[in-house]
Amino acid sequence: MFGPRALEAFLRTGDPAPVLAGPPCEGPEGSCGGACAAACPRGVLRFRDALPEASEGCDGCGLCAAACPRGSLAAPGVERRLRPRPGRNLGSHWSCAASPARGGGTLPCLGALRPEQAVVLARAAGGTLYLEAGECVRCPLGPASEKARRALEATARSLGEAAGREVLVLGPPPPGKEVEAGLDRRAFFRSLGGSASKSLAGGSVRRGALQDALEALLGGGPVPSGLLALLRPCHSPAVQEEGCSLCGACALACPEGALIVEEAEGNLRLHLDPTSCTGCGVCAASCAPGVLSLVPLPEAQGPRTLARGPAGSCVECGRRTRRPSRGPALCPACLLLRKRRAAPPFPGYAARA
Amino acid sequence: MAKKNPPLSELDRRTFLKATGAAAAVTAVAGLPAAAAGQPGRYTGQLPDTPDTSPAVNHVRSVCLQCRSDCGLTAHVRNGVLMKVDGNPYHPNCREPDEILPYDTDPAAAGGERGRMCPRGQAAPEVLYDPLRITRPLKRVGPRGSGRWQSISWEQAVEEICEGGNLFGEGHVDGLRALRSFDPIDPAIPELGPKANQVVVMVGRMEEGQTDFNDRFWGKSYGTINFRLPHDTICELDWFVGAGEAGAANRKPDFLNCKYLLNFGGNYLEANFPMQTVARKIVAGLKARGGKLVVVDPRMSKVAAKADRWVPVKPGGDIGILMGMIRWILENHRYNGQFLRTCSAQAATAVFGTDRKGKAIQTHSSAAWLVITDPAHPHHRKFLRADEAGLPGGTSSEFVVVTGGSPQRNTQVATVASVDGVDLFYQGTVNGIAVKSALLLLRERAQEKTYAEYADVAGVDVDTIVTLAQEFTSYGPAAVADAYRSVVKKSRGTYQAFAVGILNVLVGNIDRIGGLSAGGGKYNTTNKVVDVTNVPGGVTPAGVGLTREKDYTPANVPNLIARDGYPPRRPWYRNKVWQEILPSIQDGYPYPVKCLITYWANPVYTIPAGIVQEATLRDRSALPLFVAIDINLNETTRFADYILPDGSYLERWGTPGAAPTVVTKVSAWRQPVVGTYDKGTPQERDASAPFDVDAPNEYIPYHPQTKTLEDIYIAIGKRLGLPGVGANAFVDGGSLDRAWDFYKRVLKNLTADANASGLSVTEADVVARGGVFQPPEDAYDWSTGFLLNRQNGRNNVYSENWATYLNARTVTAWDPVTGKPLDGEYFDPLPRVELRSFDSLGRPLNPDPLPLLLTTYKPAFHTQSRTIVCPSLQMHLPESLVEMNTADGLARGLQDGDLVRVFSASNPQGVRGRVRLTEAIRPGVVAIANSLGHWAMQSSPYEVDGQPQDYDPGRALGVHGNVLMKVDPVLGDMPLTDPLGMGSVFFETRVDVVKA
Amino acid sequence: MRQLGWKIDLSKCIGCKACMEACKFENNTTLDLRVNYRWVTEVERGRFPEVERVFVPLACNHCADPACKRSCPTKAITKRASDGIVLIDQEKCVGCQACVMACPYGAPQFNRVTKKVEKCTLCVHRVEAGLGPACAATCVGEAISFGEDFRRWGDPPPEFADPRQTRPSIEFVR
Repeated sequence: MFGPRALEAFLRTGDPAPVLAGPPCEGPEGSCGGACAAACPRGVLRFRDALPEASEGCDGCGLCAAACPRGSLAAPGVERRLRPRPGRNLGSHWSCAASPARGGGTLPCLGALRPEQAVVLARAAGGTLYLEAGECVRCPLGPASEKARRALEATARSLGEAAGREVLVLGPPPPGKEVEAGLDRRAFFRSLGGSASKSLAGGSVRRGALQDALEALLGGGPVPSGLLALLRPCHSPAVQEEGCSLCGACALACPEGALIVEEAEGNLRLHLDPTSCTGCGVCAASCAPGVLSLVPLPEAQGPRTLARGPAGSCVECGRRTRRPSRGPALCPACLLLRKRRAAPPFPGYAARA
Repeated sequence: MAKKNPPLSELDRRTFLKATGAAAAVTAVAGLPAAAAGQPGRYTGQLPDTPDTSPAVNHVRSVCLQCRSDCGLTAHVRNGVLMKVDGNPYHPNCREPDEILPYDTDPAAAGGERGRMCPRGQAAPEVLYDPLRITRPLKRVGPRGSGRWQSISWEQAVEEICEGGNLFGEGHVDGLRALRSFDPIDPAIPELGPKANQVVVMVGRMEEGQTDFNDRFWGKSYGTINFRLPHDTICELDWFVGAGEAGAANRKPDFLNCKYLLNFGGNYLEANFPMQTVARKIVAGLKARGGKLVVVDPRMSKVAAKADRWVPVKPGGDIGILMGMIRWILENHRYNGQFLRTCSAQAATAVFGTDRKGKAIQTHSSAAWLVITDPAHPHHRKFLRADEAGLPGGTSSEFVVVTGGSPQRNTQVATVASVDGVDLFYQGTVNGIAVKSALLLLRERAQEKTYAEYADVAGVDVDTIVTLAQEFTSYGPAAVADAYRSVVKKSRGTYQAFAVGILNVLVGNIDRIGGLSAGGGKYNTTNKVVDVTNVPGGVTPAGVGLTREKDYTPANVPNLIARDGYPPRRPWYRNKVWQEILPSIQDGYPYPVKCLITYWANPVYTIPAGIVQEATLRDRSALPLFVAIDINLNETTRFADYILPDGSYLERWGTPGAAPTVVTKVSAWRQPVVGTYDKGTPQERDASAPFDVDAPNEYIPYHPQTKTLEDIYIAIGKRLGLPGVGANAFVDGGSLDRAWDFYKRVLKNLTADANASGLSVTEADVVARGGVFQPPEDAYDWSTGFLLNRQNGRNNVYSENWATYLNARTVTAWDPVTGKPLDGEYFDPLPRVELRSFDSLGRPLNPDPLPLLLTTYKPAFHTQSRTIVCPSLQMHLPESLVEMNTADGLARGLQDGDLVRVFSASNPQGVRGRVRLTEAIRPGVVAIANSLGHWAMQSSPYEVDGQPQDYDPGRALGVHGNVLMKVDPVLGDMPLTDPLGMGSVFFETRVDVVKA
Repeated sequence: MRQLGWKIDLSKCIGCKACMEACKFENNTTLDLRVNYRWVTEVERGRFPEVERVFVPLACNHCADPACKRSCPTKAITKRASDGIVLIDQEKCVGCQACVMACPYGAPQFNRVTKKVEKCTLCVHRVEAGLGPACAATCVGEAISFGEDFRRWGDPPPEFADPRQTRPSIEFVR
């Protein structure tokens, strides 16, 4: 059992509350139905001004972030939440705070690990990661923890089948097999590689790091599609090319700099750097014409150039955008404003030149 | 007629965007250092600075000059850079009495207080930092108007202008030294005056302070009678003449307490005096307090949009409503009989008493005075004098009324009972002379037409006229009829102004709370302590002014009449007439002009059909020397021989008052807000020592190669060795070496007069608060119902003045010996319906066949020709539109936004612009906003020292209505002009619109 | 929560655009002239001679539920808890114009010089100093004033976007 005292260490690491990051939150009336608030075991996460906000009493379990289907919420990174047990190195055996087991590190709740985080951490831990939970039904975090663990179980199952061995074990290591990897905390995270560590700190994992991990864990074998669907970085932006205005809003918005618009020989090209993509979906949210969407990886294996077309400048705002075969070039924002001016929903659009 | 059609809005919208984009970019780089230096930046997670409370920001209070309203301004200056301009919270133009900052508030603590201010005024930094402004003296290279200039030093400019010589390689040109001769221009006609009169100073925008200096310099130091020819006649002069005949020239409603305001075409919410104050007093005062507002205007102006009733009158038909109302009021006895019977100051005091300041109320009316109606009497049409009436003790300065059945000297009607006995509609004989009362004559005039005829003139129905008359007379003296330029800018518009004034006399609202206010006036700035207008050893200018502001009578100009006879070659007037200047120069009438000096003047653009006067500016034989003092290469100054740049209005002194809209006394203090004093910034100076009025205050404007107007004149005066410049220039023995030598005396006069009027102020107070303002408590005397600041004078319904004024241009026969005319038309002493246009010989013109009538108006974002330099004002109205009723447009196959050509008989080529179809205008009328459609003002390429200069084509967008306007068919070189009010005619041009 | 916003008296707005000028110089939007944190529109209704001209001064309404904030992919838009002012952090803004498209009022505007989107800050720097916004301080007809209570929207002009969408902090008073 753990109570406030057990969480003291986590609380000292800084503000434990989740923050909004990644694609815009849809609010309590979004498709998720307010999953984050429902997932909050302490009931301190509530919607305010249509956006989730944690009040006093949040202990940073991260279940809300794991529950968010869009990745709009980010809990403090694993790096900050994972505490080594005093006097021991981080091994490959971790437990939740409610577990009586004595793993190398403790997380408030294992259910807060996103599948892709678990995969990357498993590789860093030497190929197998043992995650030992306590009795969820008796956990003070309540049934929420149980629900959050299911995604992790599915990942473990799928990973195990593909690798032909156990990679992610939701339970204690077999007696005597407990691995003392000898990694201290710093060395462990260093082994994840700089960028992955950085991403993990914010809760998101770059596809490059994830692919490295999967390749190492699965011996280069194919990744089952069921697993791909679970892993967020394996959702990649895809563009319906004819509708893309090449306005570059997605590139401007991408937090990882994975999308780039290049101009050469009078043409604009929208490129994706897949290794940097975290599948966060910010790009899809920023796409005004709605032609950019996230699709699971196999369908996104095509060219890394997502769209191309002749270069022009928006006649209203000067932004580079696709030059249409006839008529003036207009970026989507100015096109929309122009349409509104033509049929003004309110006088502002008509009168403001 | 127009020789040149200005390049107009052929640029499409995209080009405009490029153009203003370019201008904006220039502005950002060179224009507004404020953008980088001081203003709050954009929000970047940290709060930007607040200029109001930041100790680094200096608040300089001065006076705006984006229009003539003279609202006080507060300049936020940081490190010598003007960041923002707001209203002056002490100034009654900028705040209403309920929120005005009390004068005793410490100015240092008033940083966060902002007065209100209109958009034009707030664009001030763009005037100051206009990157296209002329900032060093220029001399033309090549022929006039070629757009090629060389920059020269001030020393060279002053030397060449003063000494003359072969200045342009085109032959000898006389300089100011040679021209300052006091020999007669023409020994045969000595009344024309000395040769110095051949130097003419033409002034566009010059205000109190500057005018005092200008007049003393050119009038008394240099000695030309043409020391200042102001722009009044293209502005409001005819309104002043017409409304002035009813009582006083410049009166405005006491908006705040008015209950019923009947406005004939006054564009209150877009222009007028001062637009922001009038607008606020109407929407937040009059209207919010339940007052009623009626607007008579063919165009639904913004004030019409706020009115309780909009009467879309036929253009020019206002007189129908006015005369119909006068008839109805007189026939139904709805006039204020008590006021009309107060036939003298004494009668007024007997009836109305004395105000709480102990000043007698003397506001009276001449309505009951008797007028001689015997055509044989030598004083026919004049008021009967008491001595002529044979009344005991009667003098020629007393008039006669009939009270209690017998004639009486008006000054002897001094009891309530005798006032009540005054007969308003007397007809009979007095001392054997046939007489009628003035009011009776007015009634007879009003009854010459039926209500139906009046309604037809106005294009409204009879009911409207009767309703307006009924309503107007239902609010006692708290009902006012007001108008402005729109009723007078016609060839007989002065009569309409008089009729508006008469309506006010009929309800007796003069000087009343809620009635017609003459304003608070201003404090004495010229001679309370030192008479700054006096030049020791100076000259008294003599002779006939260039635009002949004298009656053409044998008494005035015997030799000229002997030479020319009647009618005079060009019209003679009773005031200086701006649109006459260039044509008179071209004609050499009454004498040739040798040197024209313009100050902030743009006649080619601002005079109706002014473009026909361009030829004079090009003509070196008619105009040998043309010096322009200006900061822009406008449509006129681009022909100058020399351009001498002074500062913007933010870099000068002045002492403007306020319009009568403000019922308390106002003397604002205009002062430089940027630049350097005694080689230090004003900020450094203000921070440390207390204000020292006797400091030398050598002032250098923001652009160090510019000079204040005063310093330019002083440089010329010193070069010529004129009296009144340099040592011993003032009556107190002081010297005049720099502008401040003049203005410190002005400041002392102002402070002394304010203290003599019961206030307690120091020079430092005036400078820190931007003027002296009478407290709002001194506005009203509620016990008598009168204003404390009154005109306290006579109010007329009959003009003796006009009745005896002969229009010399209508004379065809005269006595060759005495030079006395034998026929000719006297002006009408009463308002009358006159819808025709007249030429300068007084003959009606044939009706114009074109179907639409052109009207122009000022938008809220511009004033005349100068505000176009502000990109942020251009933004509000990128191009002026040709506005017409949807039905008129559809009948011509036009769609909203189509490119159209507007043309008139005098400009058949026309101008091209975009049409706007609207329902807010009477069918048959085309309206074009003023101030746009420039073809100079640095809107096209020009060169200085062989280098092409930046220019802003955005300034050329839109159309300018003036180029279409009617030209006098007799003279051919100037617009139609009302001989009585002397105003140029803006609203009698018929046009048509076709798809371009 | 305290929520600052506008009270607009349409009967007093005369369409002079002094507020736009005050705003332009106060907030230094002279770099790109087309950026106006505040603007004034005119609606003309009816047929001659029964015509109506209505002037509507508009700006960012600092909505209780700002669509711009929801749309911003980089979270540059924040709503201050202390007074409800919605701000765009120019350092975080990437200029994608998602907010330009999301706002039903047209408040966020793209600056062609800085390549970022900006909008009315309710003169937050003046509010912090205890002063009202520059537009309200200069409004010639006293039509714009500063309010705190926005449970009702008064009588918005018919062209005004449905206030239930974003719950704007504006009340049209008469």
